[in-house]
Formats: sequence, C-alpha cells, structure tokens
Amino acid sequence: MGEITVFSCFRFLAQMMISESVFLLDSPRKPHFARRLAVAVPGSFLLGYLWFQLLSLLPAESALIVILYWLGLFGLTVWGIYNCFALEKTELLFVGIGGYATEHMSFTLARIVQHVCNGYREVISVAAENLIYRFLFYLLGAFFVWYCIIRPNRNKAAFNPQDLRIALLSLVLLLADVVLSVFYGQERFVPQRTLAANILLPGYGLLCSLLILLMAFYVLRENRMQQERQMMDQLLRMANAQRKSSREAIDIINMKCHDLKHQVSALAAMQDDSARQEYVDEVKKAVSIYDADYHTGCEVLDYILREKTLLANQYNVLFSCMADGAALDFISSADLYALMGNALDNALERVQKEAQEERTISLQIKRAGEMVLIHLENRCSRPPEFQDGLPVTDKADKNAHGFGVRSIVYIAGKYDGEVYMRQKNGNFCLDVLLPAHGAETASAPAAEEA
Amino acid sequence: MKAVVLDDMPADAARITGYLKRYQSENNVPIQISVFHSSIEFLEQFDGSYDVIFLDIEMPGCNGLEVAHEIRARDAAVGLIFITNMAQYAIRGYEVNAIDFMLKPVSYYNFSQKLEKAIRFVRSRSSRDFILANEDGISRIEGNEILYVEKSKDYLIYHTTQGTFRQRGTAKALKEQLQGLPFAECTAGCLVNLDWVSRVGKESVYLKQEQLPLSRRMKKTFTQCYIDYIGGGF
Repeated sequence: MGEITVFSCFRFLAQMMISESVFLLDSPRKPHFARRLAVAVPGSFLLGYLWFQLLSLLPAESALIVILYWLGLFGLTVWGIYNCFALEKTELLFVGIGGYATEHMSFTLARIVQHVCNGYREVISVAAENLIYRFLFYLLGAFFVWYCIIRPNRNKAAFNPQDLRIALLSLVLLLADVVLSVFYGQERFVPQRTLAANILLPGYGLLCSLLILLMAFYVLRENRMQQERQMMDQLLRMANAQRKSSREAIDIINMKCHDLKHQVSALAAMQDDSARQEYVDEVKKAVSIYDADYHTGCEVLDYILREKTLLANQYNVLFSCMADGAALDFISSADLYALMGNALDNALERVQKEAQEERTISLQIKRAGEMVLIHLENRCSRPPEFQDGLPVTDKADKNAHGFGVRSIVYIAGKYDGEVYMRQKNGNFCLDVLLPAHGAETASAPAAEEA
Repeated sequence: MKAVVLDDMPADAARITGYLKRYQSENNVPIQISVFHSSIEFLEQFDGSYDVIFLDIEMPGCNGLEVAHEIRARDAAVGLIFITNMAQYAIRGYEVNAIDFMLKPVSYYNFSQKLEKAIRFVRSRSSRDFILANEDGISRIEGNEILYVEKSKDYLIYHTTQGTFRQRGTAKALKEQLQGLPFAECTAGCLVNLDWVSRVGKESVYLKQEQLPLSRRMKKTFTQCYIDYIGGGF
C-alpha cells in the first residue's frame, strides 16, 4: 500500500460520512433507523480496516491497488447508506456521487490551502494541523454544499430515469478525478510539495468536483420544472374538458326543456285518458333528468354530482352515490372539482363501452376513523393494462389522455393521500385514501419518532 | 343466507323477491326470504339474525334513513341496501354504512351486483371466538376484541381489549387462525384488526391507543385491505 497508513481508512470513511450526510438529511429512513445506523457505522469501520489489511497482503506496489482501496471504502459507505435509508437505486447512486464529489472537493481544497499556508507549519501542532485539514475542511465543505446547493434546491429536485446518463457521466468524471488524485498524492508518482502536485492538479480536481455537484443538481432542478410545466399543461387541458362537459350538460337541459314544452302542449290537447296517462309518464321520465339535486354537505361536490348525473342519465348509465361531502371540506374547491370531475369523467367514458344494462357507476365518500375514503367503481368487463399501479390509456393520443389519472394522483398527493386503482369483480375501482383534515399534521412528530 | 325485503309497495317487493329467487337458482345459494310491508312490523320482530336487508327508503309515515339507523344500531354486521325512486334520498347512506342503493325500477344485473357486495360485506363483518390463556386464567375473546397479534420468537402475543395473552405458535398458524377475519399484516409477523385502525400513515398504523410500524413492503397490500374493509367489501 506504499505510503498509505492504516489510519487512512478510518479517516477517509469519516470524511465520506460527513460529506454524504448532507445529501441524506431529508431522505426517508428505513424502520429502526437508529439501530441500523449503530450497526452500519462501526461495521463500515471494521470492514474498512479489513479491506486495508487485505490489500496490504498484496505484494505488488501499483496505483491500481490504491485506486481499488479508495473505491472499496467508498463502496462501504454506499452500502451503509443502502442499509439505513430507503432510497431507490438511482437516488443511491446520486447520493454516492454527490457525497464523493463533496469529499473530493474538500480534499483538494485542504491540499491547496495546506500548501499555501505552509509557512505556518511551525506555529500549529501536528494534531491541530490534522484536525484542521483532515476534518474541519470536510465539515466546512459539507456545510458549503448543503448551504449553497442542496438547501436552495430542496423540494425542487426530482428524479427522472433519464438522469441515469447524467449520473454515469458524473461518475466517469469523478473516477478520473480520483485516479488523478492517487497519482499526485504520492511521492513515487508525482514529486510532492511542488506547484503541480499541490496547486495545479488539486485545483483541477476541485473544479471538476464542483462542476459535478452543480451539474447533478441543476439537472434535477430542471426536471422538476419540467414536471411542473407538464402539470400546468394538464390542469389547463382539464379545465377545457370540464368546460366542454358543462356546456354539454346545459345543452341537454335545453333540449329536454324544448321537448317538454312540446309534450305539455300536446298533453293539453289530448282527450283520451289512457293515452294521456302514457304521455304523463313520458313527461315524468323526461323530468327525471333533473333528479340530481344532491345535498352532501359540500356545495362543490353537489354541483359536480348534479352535472355528472345529468350526463349519466343522458348516456343511460346507472349512477349511485352515497357521499359525506362534509368529510371533504379540507380540499380546496378547485382541487375537488378537478379530482372528482376527472374521476367521474373517466368512469362515464369507460362505462359506455359496456352493454347498456351493465353501465353502472357507484361512488362512495365516507369517513372512517381519521381517514376519508373516496371509492369510485365502474363496470369494466375488459380489464385495462396496468403500469406502476395505474391504468394505461387505450386511447391513441397518450399524451393528451391519461392525464386525468395523473392529475388525480397529483391532487391526492397534495393532501398526503394515496391513490389505488385496480380491477375487481368485473369492476374498475378507484380509491383515494386521505388523512382527514388536521390529523396528519397534528401527529406527524409522533410518526417521526417511530 | 337470510334476506329481508322491506317495501310498502307489494309490486316492488315482489320484483326483488323474484330477483332473489333467480339469484338463488342461478348461483346455487340458498336464500331464505322474508317480506315486510311496514317498518314498524319489521322492527318489532327484528333480532339481528338477517344477513341482507333491502330497504325502501320512501315509505309512508316513516323516514327510511331513520329506520336504517335503528337497524344499524341493533346489528352492525347486516348488509343494508337501499331502494329508492330518487337518488338524492339515499345520498346519506354512508351514515348507516349502507352498501349501496338501487334506483327503481331495479334491473337484475344491478341487483345481483349489489347483492354480491352485500354478501362480501357480511363476510367481512363476521367474527369468531378465541380461547386464550394468560396468568389470570383462560378467557374467551371475541375476534373483534383483538387489537393486534404479534409474533415474538416462538410466541404469539395477542393484544386485546381484555389484556395481553401469550401463546406458543407460528405466524403461519396465526394467519390460518385469522382467515376470514378483518386482519392485515402491517409488518412481518404483526397482524392488525382493521376494525381498530383509526389512521394509516406513511410509515405507521394508528390504533385508538397504539401506533404500529407499517413496513414499506406491506404498505400497499395493507392499505388495500383497509380500504376494502372500511368500504364494506367493494
């Protein structure tokens, strides 16, 4: 292992942990986090030590072994993160790269500063020097990355499968950086205490690390902006669809009114009693289209139900609904309109593919404990294809459609709710499970402790 | 299965009984049918022995929803299905945990769908007794008195409203034992009575007094079981 001492593995692991930790502040933790951490940290140190001893056994003195050594230690910390945090593989890769880039940034900076301040060597003790250059710089570097890059982008970052390319690109750049540092870090490769070994090469490494960090974060930020733009597009499209459906409802009423006028005048002119009764029945049936005056305790919901019942009657769809509208009072009108409007539109559209007597839609909104459940069920004899738990649209224009489903998920997420869709007993079921207003926020701290 | 048709209009009641008979012969399910034309007459003899009640909610001299409240107060497990002329009359059916409602005139397809839901509802509300022992002796515990059961090494720990019981057993045997009762697994080896769940959080399940961890792996299945249960066998 040449000039590398056994302490290096503990030092490097600690430095890596400091650097990676800032990327993990908001990451979801696995259950029994404290216990896992208590195993992973000493575990990494122990394995790191064994790794050093193992590589020391190799007789060869090559840079390759040194590179392997550092990467192995890095791998150990990634393993630790994997065990303590509930992260997707891409997220793990991202945290690993970010952490290593941060560590490398601190390392190069410390090296440069140490060289520049070489004159003060006599003033401070070796212990203090080690403390400053081996730890303080890493703490500062990690804080800098958190303060300048992570914090402003918090909640603005979003992963996207395409980011894998960026991650791999960053990884290549990072590896090149690490390899370079192995060479300029050792006397036998590059003469130490020279401008090249202590300023130029580390300076180049510093630049690369910073670029990796910025690149990774800005790509994520861009993704998030793109997602938001798509969501805006969707909401706009949805508003258009809703307007169309409202206009259709008005058209139906106008048409029925017109028919009624004629039927009533025909009725007045009629003499025969039995024919008259028949006619009255027909008029009654025509009037039944207004059988949609709901009082659920939520005006927006009443309005949506009225409109959709009108459409359901028009399309000969049996629509039954039991709804505790008051349970939804914590959802804003616009969101409720979008959520329920979309869900019912999808159901109405789907059910029209069925035989007439099987066109059934049933909606239930109820409270249970501290939860609110919205359950919408419609007949669906041909099960749709599911992808990631959501049905895939069978319409040709996949971009324009299917947005209904996505916006339902989006709105539910806004209220900490979850959406489940599945095919059951010949019906398509949409369930939106939401924590009732206030419940989630009130006991959230308790959930953290668990 | 015991079904009741409660409707003041003999013609409407006859239609439903006809459908029940048809369902019985088509699906080979023996159904014992009782018909009542007045809610007072029905409530007088109501003893909670029925499985499904088809209830017309517009009968003269009474409010159908009040009758439903009365029925629900006496029997939490019976499947209630409303029959109505006007959809808006049944909109508050959630108050009595009704399964659904049907608009007159009822079609057979719609009827059979709702009846099947009712059967699932009744099944999801069934309960059984358990004989459990602890240092105070042997107790008979009803299924719905069990809050949750967890496995600890070779033991099963039953947390009930009557205290805690420890018994030797395996997770597999426990699952078989609880088969058909509304229990779902929130973490490996811990089965929760869904009836006691007040909230399903991101990482925890909240019972009235307690909080249990909810594992990521089990979350989807657990939540779906919970939804099915509070929905009453969708």
